[in-house]
Amino acid sequence: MSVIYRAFLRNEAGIRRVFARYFRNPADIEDLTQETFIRCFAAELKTEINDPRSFLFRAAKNLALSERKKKIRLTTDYIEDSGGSEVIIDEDGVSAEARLDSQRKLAVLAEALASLPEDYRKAFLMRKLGNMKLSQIATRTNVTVRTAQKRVAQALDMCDAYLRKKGYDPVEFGRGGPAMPVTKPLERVAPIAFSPNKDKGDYDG
Amino acid sequence: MVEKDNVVSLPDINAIYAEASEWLVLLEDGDVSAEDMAAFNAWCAKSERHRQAFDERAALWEGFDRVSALQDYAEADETAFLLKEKRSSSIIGGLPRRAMLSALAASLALSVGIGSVLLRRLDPISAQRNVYRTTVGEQQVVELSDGSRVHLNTDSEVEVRYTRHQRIVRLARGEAYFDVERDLERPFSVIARENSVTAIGTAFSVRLLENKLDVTVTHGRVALFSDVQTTANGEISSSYQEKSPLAELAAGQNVQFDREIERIETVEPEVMARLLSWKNGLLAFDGERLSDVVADIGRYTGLDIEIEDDALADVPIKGYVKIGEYEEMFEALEIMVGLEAVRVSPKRVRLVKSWEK
Repeated sequence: MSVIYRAFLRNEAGIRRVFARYFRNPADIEDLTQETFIRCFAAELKTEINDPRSFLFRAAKNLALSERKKKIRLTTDYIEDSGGSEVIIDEDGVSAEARLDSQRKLAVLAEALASLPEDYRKAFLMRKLGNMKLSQIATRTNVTVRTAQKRVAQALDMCDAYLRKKGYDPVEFGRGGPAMPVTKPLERVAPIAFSPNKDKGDYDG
Repeated sequence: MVEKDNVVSLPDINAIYAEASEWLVLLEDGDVSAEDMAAFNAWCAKSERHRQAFDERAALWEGFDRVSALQDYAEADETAFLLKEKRSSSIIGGLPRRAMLSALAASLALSVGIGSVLLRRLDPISAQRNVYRTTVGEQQVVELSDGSRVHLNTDSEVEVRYTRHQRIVRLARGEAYFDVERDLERPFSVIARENSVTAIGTAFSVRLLENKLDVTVTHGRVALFSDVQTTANGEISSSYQEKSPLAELAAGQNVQFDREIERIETVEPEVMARLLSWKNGLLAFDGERLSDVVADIGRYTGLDIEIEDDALADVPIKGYVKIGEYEEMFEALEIMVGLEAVRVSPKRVRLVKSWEK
C-alpha cells in the first residue's frame, strides 16, 4: 500500500475536518477530501514523501484556501451575471458536474492503485502512465518479461477486486471514457457568508 | 435442471479472469506473434465466459486511462509548491535566526502542517473514568461528547466527568487548552488544586504549575473560584455555586492564582499567540531568560538541562522552535548564544560555552 494512502486512511476524518471548517456542504467536503488524496498520491508518484500525514494536511489546507477563494469568485461572478445565461462553464469547457464525476472516478481508481503492493503498482503505472513496453518494465525493474506481464495483469486483477469490495462495478469505469464537454445548467450557487475568523477555534486562526 | 457445463466454481472463474488479464496485457503490448494470436483465439473459444471475462478486463483497462490525469496533478504548481515547502521547512526547521514575533505570527498562519498533530483523536485510558493523558513531548486533542475540545500539552492529564447539570474536567497534571461548546444549562468547569475555572462557552488554557494555576482566556469570559468542594459524583457542590468568584476574566487576560489572585494581566494579541503557540507545535520566546527557556524545553523533552555558567542564565532569548525537535533546539541555542549542549547522561544535558568545550 502506498504511504500516502495508508496515512490517508488513518487521517481521513481529520482531513475532512479541515474542509469542514471552510465548507458546509457535505458533498464539497467529500470531494475536496478525495481531491486531497489524488493530489498527494500524484505527488508520491513523483517523489518520496517522508511525512505523509503532514503532507496530506498541508495539501488539504492549501486546497481549502484556494477553493474557498475560487468559490467566492464564482459566487460573485454568478451574481453579477445572473441576468444573462444560466450556465456557468469553466475554462476547460467542462461542466462542473461532468468534471466531478470524472474526478470521483479518478479518486477511486487512484485508491485502487494505491492499495496495491509496491512492485505491482510500479509495474502497472509504468505500463499505464509511463506507456512503457513490458520489455522496458522488465529491464528497469530487473525481472523477466514474463514476470513484468504477470505483475501488470495481477495488478489489474487486484484493482478489480478492490473496486468490487468497495461496491463498484469495475466495468463502469471503462464507460464513457474521459468526461466529454457537456453543457448543463448549473444549480444556483448560494452565496456563502464568509468571515475569516468566524469559528471561535484558534486564536491564531 | 442446470446443465453441468454451465456450473463453474468460483476458483475457476477467478482463474479465467486472471488468464484474461494476462492475455490483455500481452496483446496490449503490441507485436503479437501469430502463434500467440492463435492461442488467444483458442482461449476465447473455450466458452462465452472466457470472452466476457476478457471484455470486462479490457473495459477496466481502458478505464485506467483516466489515471493519466495523475501526471497533470503531479506536475501542477500546487504540487510543486507543496514539495518545495516540505523541503525548505525540513531544512530551516527549528533554526530561528533571532526570529521576530511578527515572523512568528506569520509562521503560525502558514505552518498549517503542524496543526495536524493535534487532530489525532485520543481514546480515554480508562473508559469508566474518562482519563486522558499525554507523555512528555506528546500533544493530543480530545473531542468530548458535547463537541468541546481539549488540547492536551506535553506530559498532561485530565479526567472528564459529565453529569446532567455540570461538565467537569479535572486537570491532574500539565497544561490544556479548552475550546468549550456553549451550553447554558451545563457550565463547564476545570478543577485543579481545589480551584476552578468555570465557563459557559468560551476558550481558555489552564496550566498547573507547582503551586498555582496559570489561566489564559482567548474567547469569552471565565470565572475563577477557590476552595472548591466536590460531591461524591464529582459535581461541584451546590453551596459553591452561590459563592462569588475570586475574579472574572475576559478574553485577552492572563492570571496566576491559587487561593488568591497573584496577578492579572491583559496581554497583547501577539503575546497571546506566543503563550498558546504550543497548540501549533511551536515553542516561542520573546526575551525570556535562558533559564526559563531551558526549563520549558525540559518540560517538552523530559531532559534535565543545566547551564554551566550562572551568568548566562539571564541571557534573553528570542525565537521559536518546533516541539519535539530538541536537537534543533540545542542547535539554535548554539547559534543564538554560543552555548553547546553536552550530554552528561541520557536524561541530563549541560550547556557549556562553545569555545570552552
